[in-house]
Amino acid sequence: MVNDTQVPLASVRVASTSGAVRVRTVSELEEVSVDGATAEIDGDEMTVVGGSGRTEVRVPTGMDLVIGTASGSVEVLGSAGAVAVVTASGKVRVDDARTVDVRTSSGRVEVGTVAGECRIVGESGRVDVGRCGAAHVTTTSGRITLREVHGPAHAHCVSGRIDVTMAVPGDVDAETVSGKITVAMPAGSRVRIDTPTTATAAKLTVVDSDSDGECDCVVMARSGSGRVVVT
Amino acid sequence: MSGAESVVGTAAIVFTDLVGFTAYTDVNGDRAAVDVLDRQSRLVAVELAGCGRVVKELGDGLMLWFESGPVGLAAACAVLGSVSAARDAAEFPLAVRMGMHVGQVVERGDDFVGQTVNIAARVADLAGPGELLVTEQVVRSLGAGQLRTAFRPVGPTRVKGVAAPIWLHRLAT
Repeated sequence: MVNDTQVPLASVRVASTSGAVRVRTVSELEEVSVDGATAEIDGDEMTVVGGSGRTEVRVPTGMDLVIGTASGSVEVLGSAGAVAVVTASGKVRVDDARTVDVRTSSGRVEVGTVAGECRIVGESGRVDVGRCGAAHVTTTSGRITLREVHGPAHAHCVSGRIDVTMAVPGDVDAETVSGKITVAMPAGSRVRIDTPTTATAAKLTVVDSDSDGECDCVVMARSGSGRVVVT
Repeated sequence: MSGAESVVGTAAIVFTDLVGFTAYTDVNGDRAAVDVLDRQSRLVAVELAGCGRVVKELGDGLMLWFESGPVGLAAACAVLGSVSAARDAAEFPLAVRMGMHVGQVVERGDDFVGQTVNIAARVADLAGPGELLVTEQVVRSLGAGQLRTAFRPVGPTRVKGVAAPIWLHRLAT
């Protein structure tokens, strides 16, 4: 679609009734292209409105995206800016983004690399995040896997398992009522652990909260009935 | 009150929900759960004094009324901050999540009904622990200097009976 407003686009918003949405970023692309939907430009923002069919959008690399569909899947392929997604039941996949905010009721969420904050609110679908900065992930029953966290990590679910791997020492707040929790810290981390059932490996220095020993980070991990393991 | 006596007006509606309340009750028992609800009521009452009211309790959640978006937003932020501070001080065990919308409501006795209420409830469903989500209408109800820049886009959602998508924003904390 030709942007004749003379104002460079800062973000693209996509709203679909029930169809799947696929956004692909393309380096050095000059114009946004849209298939299967209508588009309007208001200032520095484009709004794409799709129906029940598939909506496909091509945007320049690094573009901010705000996407919503009632039940279709959402895919963001390539490298985007700030990505925000709301869907009821479709699967969500984001390859690479500056920040991520995903809300879904039952869809599975897969996120590759996030330079900054990764925020996910889900219900029953599994959440799998590769590399990210700060992580804020909440589900009801979906398992949470955070594979390489470079900031503070918050992971909460009611009945699912939580696995957090920290790339650098950082605070971890993980809580589940019935699932197992595993937290892996970098070797040599000085960790203060606040968890009722803890197993720690020798590679960590565990700092007692009552001592004067300095710690790099605090791990708060609580499971009502599952095991908690910090390594 | 009959339909003819119902009052129509503009208001801001906020729904709150305690995250993990059912699980907390399972683990800690009914008495502890009641204690949490009592503490929540006290925290909210302090922040709402003179600027809004609790319309009704919905299990562990609350429905709140305010006369305008800016007033409701200020109060919702205060409630969020108050609960967060209480959690940090280990005086309150659960996080709260909130959703807000502004628009026309129909007053029915002590209650309010209408799509504005339905939308606010849907918005709260999408919030995470410690989050306040608001609709675009709430952001637009604010003056230029009133926290407009404090919001991050979340995305559009659909509500039954509403043709257009409802665009949501998160108060950045």
